[in-house]
Amino acid sequence: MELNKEQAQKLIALRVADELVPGTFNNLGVGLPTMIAGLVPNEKDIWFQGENGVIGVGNSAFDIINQTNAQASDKAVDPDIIDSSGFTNTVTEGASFFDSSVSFSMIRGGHIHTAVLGTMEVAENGDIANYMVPGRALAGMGGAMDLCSGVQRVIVATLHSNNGKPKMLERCTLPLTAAGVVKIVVTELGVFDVKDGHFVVREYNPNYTFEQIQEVTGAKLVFPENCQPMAAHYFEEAVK
Amino acid sequence: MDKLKTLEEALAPVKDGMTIMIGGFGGNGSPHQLIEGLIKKGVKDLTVICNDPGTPNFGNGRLIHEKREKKLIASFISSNKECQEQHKNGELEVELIPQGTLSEACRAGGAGLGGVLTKTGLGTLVEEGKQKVVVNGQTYLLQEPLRADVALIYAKTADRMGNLIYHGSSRTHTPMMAMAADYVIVEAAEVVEVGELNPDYIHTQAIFVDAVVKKEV
Repeated sequence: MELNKEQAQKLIALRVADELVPGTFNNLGVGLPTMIAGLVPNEKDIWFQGENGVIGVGNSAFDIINQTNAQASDKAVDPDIIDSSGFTNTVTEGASFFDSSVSFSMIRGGHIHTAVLGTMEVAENGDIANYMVPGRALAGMGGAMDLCSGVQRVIVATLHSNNGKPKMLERCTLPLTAAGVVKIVVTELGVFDVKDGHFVVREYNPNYTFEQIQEVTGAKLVFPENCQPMAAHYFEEAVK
Repeated sequence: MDKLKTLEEALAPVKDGMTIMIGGFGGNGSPHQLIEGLIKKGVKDLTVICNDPGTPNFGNGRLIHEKREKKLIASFISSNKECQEQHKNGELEVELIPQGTLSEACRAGGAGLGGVLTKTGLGTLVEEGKQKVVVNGQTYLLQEPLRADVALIYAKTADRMGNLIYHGSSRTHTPMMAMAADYVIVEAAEVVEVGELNPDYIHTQAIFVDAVVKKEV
């Protein structure tokens, strides 16, 4: 089964959603990771922290941020969405708002269980490079370096390759966002634990051979005897 | 104590070349009318400390669009192509500070602290030019405090003496910036009489605020 880009991203988001632990507070990076919130039902009791100052259950934190951003980009007279629209009970149930000092105290202080980040490169030593390409327009690290420095568990959620170039490497070539912090990498080709300086395959996409997966990866993969195929329901869901 | 002023009165002390902190995140929670007031007043060559450059021609992006900034200290600039272009052309100097470190640098500046020790940025380009400090065997980077001549901030509610209540996710760096500038102007959507706010729920205390401007509807 060949997945198109959107289906591959959804597959990754669905698989990462199951790595999140009920009863915890988590942070999702921009792009693909943000999709995960929409795939986690509120009943799962998985909470998300937005570093611009909100905690909400399931997708609610992102509802608030998305509405805010939409209004801001529309150049509305009053972009303070929370003033103008109010919240439904589902959005504010258990939610809290806070300033950036408190927000990053949660992040650096180890109070966030898992951060899910996209990336340009990730290395078998746990290094991550996702904020800067020399020679291209300056972008900035935002909160990514703080997330990497303090969150208990960093998961990278990313397409396996960028225009045919592997993202999983022996060492990053781009300037690092953080050194030695990534614990798990999830792509459309598998779930990889970063262990003892190697990518250890926990689950693999059964539509490809080990050789095919290795071929598009920039570091030597370890396939332990107990590695499993990714469950069929992820693929069924991803192509819906 | 009454700090309620007109926009022009409040902005009177702001001059060319000053360092200005501006609250908000992507333009949300920014004091848009104070920013317009600055543009109208004609001040330029500003060094601005803000989470980001807003979006093109919005929030802090208004000042960038009008080319009033010579330097921007922010955590990211990817939200504003105009800012990226001005940086590329050498018109605008940009200093990037990780978002959490930026907030604490403002807090340190306002709290009388000599700086912040953080692990954020260790092993990255952020280390360049920064002092490393070892505490109990753990290595940290020293971020020096940030201060500004002026802070422009937004709050949902102010009383006339400058006690502030923020609303929703618009708070961001604002409370820290309110502590870290010599002169702090708040644009408030709602201004009430002294005594009307519940003292238990004040987010920024009047001691940090110098001028209150009522936002025009």
